Parts: sequence; structure tokens; C-alpha cells
Amino acid sequence: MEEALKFIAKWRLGDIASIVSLVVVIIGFILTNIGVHRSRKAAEEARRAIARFDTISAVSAAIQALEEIKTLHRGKDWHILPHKYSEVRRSLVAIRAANPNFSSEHKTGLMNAVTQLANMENEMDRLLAVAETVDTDIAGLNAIISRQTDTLSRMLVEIKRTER
Amino acid sequence: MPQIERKFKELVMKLHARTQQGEIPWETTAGPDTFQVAFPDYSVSLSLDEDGWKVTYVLSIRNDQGNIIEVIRSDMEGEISDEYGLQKAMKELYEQARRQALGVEKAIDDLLGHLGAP
Repeated sequence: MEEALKFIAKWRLGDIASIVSLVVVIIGFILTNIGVHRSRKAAEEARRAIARFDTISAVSAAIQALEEIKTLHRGKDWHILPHKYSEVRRSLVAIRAANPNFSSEHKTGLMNAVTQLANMENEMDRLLAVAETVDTDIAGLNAIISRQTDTLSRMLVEIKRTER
Repeated sequence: MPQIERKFKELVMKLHARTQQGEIPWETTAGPDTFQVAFPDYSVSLSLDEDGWKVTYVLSIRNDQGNIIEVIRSDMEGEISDEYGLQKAMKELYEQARRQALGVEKAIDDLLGHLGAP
């Protein structure tokens, strides 16, 4: 036993062990930090992917709802239309609120669609207040809706293309 | 002139100037004689309010929810209308917006093209 202690003292194995322990602790700390960083990055990427998926779903649903509005125009289902305009407008407002980093072009496109739908809702309410049925330019209304679906479709392509 | 009214007039004048340069993409809307243009956070609608012989030009500002947050009328009582030429500026702006939204200039150029040189 004494021989062993002498050997340890001679070769300063205690100091070496301390240094090795310190190095192991530092390496462990670095590896833990890298792991935490990777986990955070993966969680952030997953969160972004989910948000992107939600946006794609919401924009697709809005395009679908706008197409339904065109069908309602053709069917002259006037009384249901103010509610539909409002519903799609609210979904577009929600898309915008969920994507504060949208480009200026996307924000302008959404703002334009929101304003068109608000104008349509006001106009339809105004017309329905004075008559049971509405005599209006269906092709004109659908042309306005088509412009909005075109804008949203372009936006959808761009959102799908980014971060791919 | 109060600060806000000064800004109303500045807004109308800037829209007027930028529309004249063809830089503002005015669009038709569901409303008769109503035109709109959107920017990233707000939009502007221009419409006519006709009451017999009297025509008033109305500029509405909407926020990102689509709600009207301000209305500027060409017949606004007070300092900014006649004294500062708001009525004239809004009338010109409305006419420019209408022509731009309906593509009147393009139509006339096309017609002139078909009719040939004099």
C-alpha cells in the first residue's frame, strides 16, 4: 500500500487525475450544451414547421372559401353572403396576425383581400336592407373574388417554396 | 390648421401625386363608384356620395382588420376644404383612381391604335 502511495506521489498521479477530471467535466459540459442547443434548435424547427403547415392550411381553406363565395354569387344566395364574407375576412386577419414576419407584398395582398371583403359585406348589407333580392353584377363580383384567389394562390406557392 | 387636418390634406395630395405618376394600383370594388388601394397595414377606399346635385368625395381608411378608422370628406366643414383646395384635390384624385382602376387610358390607347394615325 505504501509502495502504491509512493508511486502515486512520485508521478503526481493525484494532480493528473484532478486535471483529467476537470477536462472530463469541461468536455461533458460542452457536450451537454451542444445537446441542449440541438434540442432547442430541433424544437424551434418543429415549431416553425407546424406554424408553416398551419399557414398553408389556412390559406388553402381561404382560397376554397372564396371559391364557395363565387358559387353563392352564381346561385344568388344573397342572405348567406354577408356572413361568408365576414368569415373569410376574419380568417385572413388571423393568417396575418399569425405571420407578423410576412413580406410587405404578402401583407399588402392580405390587406387588399380583407378590404375587398369588407366592402362586399357593407355593400351586400346595404342592398339587402332595401330589398329582399339583389340586382348586382355577379360577373363583376366574381372577378374581384378571382383576383383575391389569384393573390392567395401566389402567396401559397411562395410559402411552400420558402424554407424547403 | 390642426395637425390632423394637415395630415389629411398631405395624404390626399400624396395619393394624388403618386396616382398621377401611375404608381398606385387602384382597384374596382363591390361598391358602385368605389375604388380601393391597399398598403401593407392599411387600405384606402375612395367613393362618391351623391345627394341630388351635390357630389361629395369620400376617402375611408381601413385598418388591418378591415374596419374603417377614419373618413375624410371633400365637404368637410372647416378650414381644410375650400380654403386649402381639398375639394378639388379629392375630385381629381377620384377621377384618376377611377380611370386607373377601370383601365380607361389603356382602352383609349387601344381604340386610338385601331383607328389609326390621323
